[in-house]
Amino acid sequence: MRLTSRQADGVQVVRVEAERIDAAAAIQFKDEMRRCTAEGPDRVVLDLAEVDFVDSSGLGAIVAAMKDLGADRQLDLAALSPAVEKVFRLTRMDTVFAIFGSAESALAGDPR
Amino acid sequence: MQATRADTGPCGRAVLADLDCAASPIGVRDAVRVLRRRLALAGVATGIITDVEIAVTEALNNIVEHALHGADTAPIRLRASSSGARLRVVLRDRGAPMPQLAAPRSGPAPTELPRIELPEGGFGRLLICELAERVRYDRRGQENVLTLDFRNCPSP
Repeated sequence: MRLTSRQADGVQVVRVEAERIDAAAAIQFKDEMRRCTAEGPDRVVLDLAEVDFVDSSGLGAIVAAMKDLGADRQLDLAALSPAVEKVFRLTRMDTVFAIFGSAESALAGDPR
Repeated sequence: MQATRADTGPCGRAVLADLDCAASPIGVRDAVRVLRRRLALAGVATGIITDVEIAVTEALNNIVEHALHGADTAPIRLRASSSGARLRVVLRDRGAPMPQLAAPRSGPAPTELPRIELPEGGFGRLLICELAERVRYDRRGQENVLTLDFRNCPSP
C-alpha cells in the first residue's frame, strides 16, 4: 500500500498507488493515510485513479481517514472507478464526500 | 456476427468456476481474481462481473472473519455456475454456524449523521443484499452453505 503526496494550490493531493483498498490492505491504508496527513492543509483530496476496487473494509478505512483529519479539515475523493463508485453509491456514502472526476478537477473545484 | 456467449447446453447450468479460497484476506483476493477471469471468459457482462466481485468479496470476507474466526483452517469452496439468465455462486465452509443473513435495518441517511458518528463498518451485508437477487444460507451438517444468485443479463 503506497501513497504519494503532493501539494498544489494549498491543497494536499494523496494518490493511492494500489489497485485495491480491501480487507487485505485496509489497515495499511489507514496507517499510511494517518502518517501522510498528520500535518498539512485543511483540504485533502484522495486520488483513487489507480484503484479498481474498494470493499467494505476499504470504505470503512476511507471514512476513518476522514475522521482522523479532524473537524477542521476535509477529505474529498477523486477519480472513482465504476466498481468503487458503485460501493459508495449503494452504501450512500457518496453523499458524505465531495467526489470529483479527477484530481485536476478537484483542484479546479469542478465536479466533472 | 459471431456468437460470443458460452454455450450452456440444453440442460442449463454450466460450471464457470470451481475453486478453493484460502481462509484469509489475501486468499479472498486471489479467489475473486480467478472468478473474475472465468466470468469474463464466459462472456458475462462487465457490470454483472463487478456486482459479483463486490458481493462475493464481502461474503468471503464475512466467512473468514466470523465463521472461521481468522484461524488457519480448511479453505472455503467456491463454485460459480450459470443457467441462462441467472448466475449462481455457492460458498461452502466448515466453520461455526453463521447467523441468518437478513438484510440490515436501514439506519439514518449518512448526511443526517455528524461526522464523528459515521459508520466505519457494517456495510458488507448491505452490499450483498443490494447486489445479489437472492441470498440463501443453509447449515448442512458441519457445513455452512451460502448461495448467491445474480441476474445474468444487464438491464436495458
